[in-house]
Amino acid sequence: MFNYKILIVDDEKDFALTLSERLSLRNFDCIIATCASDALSLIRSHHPDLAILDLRLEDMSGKELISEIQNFDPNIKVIFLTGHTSEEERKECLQKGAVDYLLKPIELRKLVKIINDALEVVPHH
Amino acid sequence: MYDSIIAVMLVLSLSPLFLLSGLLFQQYDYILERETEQQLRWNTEIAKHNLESYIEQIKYLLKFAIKEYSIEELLDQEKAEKLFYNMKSDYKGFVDFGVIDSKGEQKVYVGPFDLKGINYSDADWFKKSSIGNENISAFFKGYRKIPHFIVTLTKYSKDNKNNVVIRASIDMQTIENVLSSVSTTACDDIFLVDNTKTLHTTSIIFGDIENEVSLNIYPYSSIMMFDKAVYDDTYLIYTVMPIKDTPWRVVLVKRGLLISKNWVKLKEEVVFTVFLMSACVLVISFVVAQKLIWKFRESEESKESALMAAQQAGKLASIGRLAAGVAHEINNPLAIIDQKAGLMQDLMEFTGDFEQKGKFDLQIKGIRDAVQRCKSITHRLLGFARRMDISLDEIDISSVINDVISFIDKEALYRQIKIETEFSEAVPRIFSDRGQLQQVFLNIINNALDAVVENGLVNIKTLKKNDDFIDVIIQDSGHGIPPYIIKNIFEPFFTTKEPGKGTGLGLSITYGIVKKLGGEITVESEIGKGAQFTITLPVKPQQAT
Repeated sequence: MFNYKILIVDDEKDFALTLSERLSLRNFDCIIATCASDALSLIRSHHPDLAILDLRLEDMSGKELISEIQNFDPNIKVIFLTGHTSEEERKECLQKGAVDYLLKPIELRKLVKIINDALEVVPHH
Repeated sequence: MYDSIIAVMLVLSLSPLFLLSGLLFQQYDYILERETEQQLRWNTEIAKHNLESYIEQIKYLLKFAIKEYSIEELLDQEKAEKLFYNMKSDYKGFVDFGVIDSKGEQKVYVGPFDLKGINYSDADWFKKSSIGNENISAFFKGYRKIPHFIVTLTKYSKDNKNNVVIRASIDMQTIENVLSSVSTTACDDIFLVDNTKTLHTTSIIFGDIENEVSLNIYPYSSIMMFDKAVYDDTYLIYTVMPIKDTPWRVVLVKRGLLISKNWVKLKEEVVFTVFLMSACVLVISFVVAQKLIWKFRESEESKESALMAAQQAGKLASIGRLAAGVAHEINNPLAIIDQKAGLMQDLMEFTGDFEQKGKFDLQIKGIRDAVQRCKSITHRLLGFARRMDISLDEIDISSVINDVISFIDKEALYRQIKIETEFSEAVPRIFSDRGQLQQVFLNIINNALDAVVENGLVNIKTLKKNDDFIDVIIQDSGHGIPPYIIKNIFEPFFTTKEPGKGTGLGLSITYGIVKKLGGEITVESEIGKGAQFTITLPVKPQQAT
C-alpha cells in the first residue's frame, strides 16, 4: 500500500512537525519545510501529492509559492492553512487554484476530510 | 453669560420705555403749564372785568349825582347827605362823601369822620381832578387811618370858575370782596398792586397792604402779562393785568402747576404702565435668557455627543483593528497548542493502556476545550475584520428579518417568548448586504431573547424614517440595561455574561457592520422596562463611515 505524500510548509517549525506527526499517524507521508526555497526543492525531489501552505513565509508569500508549485506541476493540490485571514486573500488564493483556505487552529478531523476530498477528486497517478 | 444676556436684554428693552415715559412726562409738564396759564389768563380777565364794572358802577352813581344836582344843591349839606345815603344804600362800600370847591376847600362832608373844611388844594388827586373830568386815587391810611380809595368827579360851572369836585371814598375791603369772587382753584393768590409794586390789597403770599411784591409787574404794559418766578422756594406762575382808569394792576398767582384730576390720573396710568411693562420685560428677559442658555447648552451638548460618537466610532475601529491583529498573532501559537494536544491524544490512542491514562485523556481534553474557546474568540475577531467586505443587493428588509426569526423561532417557542413583527408598508427596498444584515439582526434579537424571561415579548418594527433612511426597532420586555453598561455596550470584549458564555464581541461586530453599511445603531433602555435598539439604514448605498 502506498501513502499520499504531503508537504507541510510553515515558518512555525513546531507546528509543522506536530502536524506532520499526526498526519503520519493517519497514513500520510509527510515532509516539512519552514521556508519557500526549502519547500520548492522538496517538491522537486519528493513530488508530493498535496501541499499545506502557510500564507506568510520568510522568503516568499504563500500566494507566490502556489504559482511556483503549479508551474512545476498543476496537479499538486494546495491547501492554505493560516493564522492570518482576510476575505480578499481568501478569494485570491482560491482563484489561484487552492483547494481550500483554512484558518488556524483547525480540527485535524476536518483537515483530514478536506485532504481526502481533494486527493480523491483526481486519483493519484 | 446668563447675567450678561439678561443685562443686555433689560437695557435694550427698558431704555426705550424709560426714554418714552421721560418724554411723556416732559410733554405732560409743558401741557400742564399751558393749561395753568390758560386758566390764569381766563380768571385774570374775569377779575379785571369784575373790578372795572364795579368801579364803573360807582362812577355811574357819581356821574348821576353831577348830572342831576346843581352846584348849589351839591354844596347844600342836607341835600348832599340825602344823596350820600341814597348812594350808600346801593353800595355799602361808600365810606364818605365830600364836595370841594375850586380852591380846594371841602365845603360839604358826609361821613363818619370830621373832615369838613379841610383844604385839599395840595393833594394829588385834587390837582388831577382839576385837569381831568374824573379820577381814582388810592390811599392806604390817609386822614382816617384805614385803607381806602377815592373817586372824584368835577362838576363844571357855566363860567368854569366855580367848578366843584365831588369826592367819594370807598373802603378797600369792598375791592377785596370783588377779588375774592374769582375762582380759588385757578389761582392761589389774587391782589392789587400799583406801579411801585406796593400791595393795595392783602396778599396770601406777600402779606399786608403796603408790602412790596417781589414780582415783575410790567408797569408800562397795557395788556395782560404772563410770567414765572421763584419766591420763597416756591415756583410761581402769575399774570399781571392793568385795571382801566385806576392806578392798579391785578395780579393772579398760582403756586406750582395746576393739577387737574385728569392729569393726575394720566400720570398714575403712565407710571403704572411703565411699571407693568418693566415687570413684563423683566419676566420675558428672564424667560428668553433661560431659553437661550438652554439652547446654547443643548447645542453644546449635541456637539459634545457628536464628538463623543465620533470618538466612540474611532475607538471601536481602532480596537477592532488591534483585536484582529492580536487574533492573527495568537492563532499561530494556538494552532501549535492544538496540534500538540491533538498529537498527545493521537499517541494515547495508538498506545495501550497505562496508569492514569484516563486522567491524561481528561487533561488533554481540557487543553483542547480551552483551545476551542480561544479559537472561537480569535475567529470572531477575524470575522470582525473580514466582515468589513460588503456586497450590496436590493433587498426587502422584512424578508431579512423573517429569515432571522426563522433561525431562532424554535428557541423562542421553547422559552415561550413571543416575537411580534410590525412591518410598515411604507418602507422601501434598500440596497444593502443581506448576509451582514442577517448577522446584525441575529445578534440583536439573540441578545433580546437572552434579556427576556419566560412569557416575555420581543417586538420588531420597521419604519420609514425619511426618503433616505429606514429604521428597524427591536424592543424587548426584559430587565433593561443600566446606564453604565449602555455606555460601553458596543465595545469589543465588553460582556455582562458570565466568563465563557459570551465573548463580548456580538454587539461590537454588529456596530461595525451597521457603520460599514452606512447606518447607525442606538440603544435606549430603562431599568425594568426593557431595551430598544434602533438600527437606521440608508435606502441607497453611500460613503461608508
